[in-house]
Amino acid sequence: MKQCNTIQSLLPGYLSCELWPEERNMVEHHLHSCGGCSQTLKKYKKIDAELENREEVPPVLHHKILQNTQLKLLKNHHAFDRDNQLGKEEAVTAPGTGVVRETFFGLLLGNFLSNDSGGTIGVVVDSLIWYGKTILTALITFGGFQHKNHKLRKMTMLTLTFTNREYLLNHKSTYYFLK
Amino acid sequence: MYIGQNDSSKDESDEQLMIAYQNGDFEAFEMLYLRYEKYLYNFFLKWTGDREQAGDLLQVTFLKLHHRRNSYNPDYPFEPWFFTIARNAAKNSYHKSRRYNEIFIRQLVLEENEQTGWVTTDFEENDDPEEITCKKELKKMIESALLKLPESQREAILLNKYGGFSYSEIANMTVSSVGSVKQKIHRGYTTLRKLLEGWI
Repeated sequence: MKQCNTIQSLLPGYLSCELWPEERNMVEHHLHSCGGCSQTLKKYKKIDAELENREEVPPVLHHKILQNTQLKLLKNHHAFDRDNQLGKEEAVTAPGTGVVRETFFGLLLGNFLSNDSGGTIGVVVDSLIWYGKTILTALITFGGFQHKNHKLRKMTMLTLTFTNREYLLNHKSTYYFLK
Repeated sequence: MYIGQNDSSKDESDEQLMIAYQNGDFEAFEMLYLRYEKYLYNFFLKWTGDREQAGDLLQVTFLKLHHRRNSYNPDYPFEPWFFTIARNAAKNSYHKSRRYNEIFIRQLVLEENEQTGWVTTDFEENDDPEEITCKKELKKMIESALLKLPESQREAILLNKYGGFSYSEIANMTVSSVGSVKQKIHRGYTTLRKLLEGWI
């Protein structure tokens, strides 16, 4: 009986491979001849099996946590705030070149370009930010430039042509989606 | 054994991902998150017995990870460090929770086999309906019994059996001794066995 108490105290460690070799040998030797302790071991195995059960994480929670961290990291990158997102209002205008439009959801980081009169004529985009790895079809208009039906993906080089200038944009390796 | 060690998609180690995350790489965070999300959610679910609390704790833990990411030293394993954050979140939240008493009361009700609404995803499609019912009941009973354990015993069992942490790792995380961890786990299992008499 005393030995059974000792053995049963070692059973959880036996199942977790936490025992010293001599302890393990002692347990296995005892189990060969003790039905009671063998039964206890079976019960502990059933408990362990249940402990390994896992439910799925609710999708809403999944997206919420990812999005929260995205936003925090973007703030650290000194991104434009959400009110400056293109598409909500005329973010970039230039004389006679029309209104900036965008049909995708994302954020452009960059520096506005000014002409000699101080008017904004365009933006040099440092990076295009959108969500995950999904492929988007985008129409971007900057000062008359149209980048139409181009499938945007990670590692894509973007070419935006403004009224007066042409810029080659290097992508960045990390993309975030804000909307 | 760490939860990620059996992950065949682990091209980069957790430690490497954390370095990238510390440099602002969201993709690195996302990979870390996907590795630990389900595991941690279920850890909290088994800890609290409540889905809403488990969801809250999951959020709190990853928020704390974000705030403390720059304090992580990649020379040391990520998982125990991360689980210390998770564990502390659970302990702090649980004791402050206004719902603590609600859960406690619900456990008393569980003794009368009321529905908890917990769903299991672990049954085979071709299981006999009666067998599925038995499995569901057993699951319910084990979860209920787990919640009846003193927190320190439940914590030690979950960290070892569910988390895969060794006794010495648990001792470090809980600032206790290996002997104390062994004792808690042994006592926890003994209590579980008694509570589940007739069910297992």
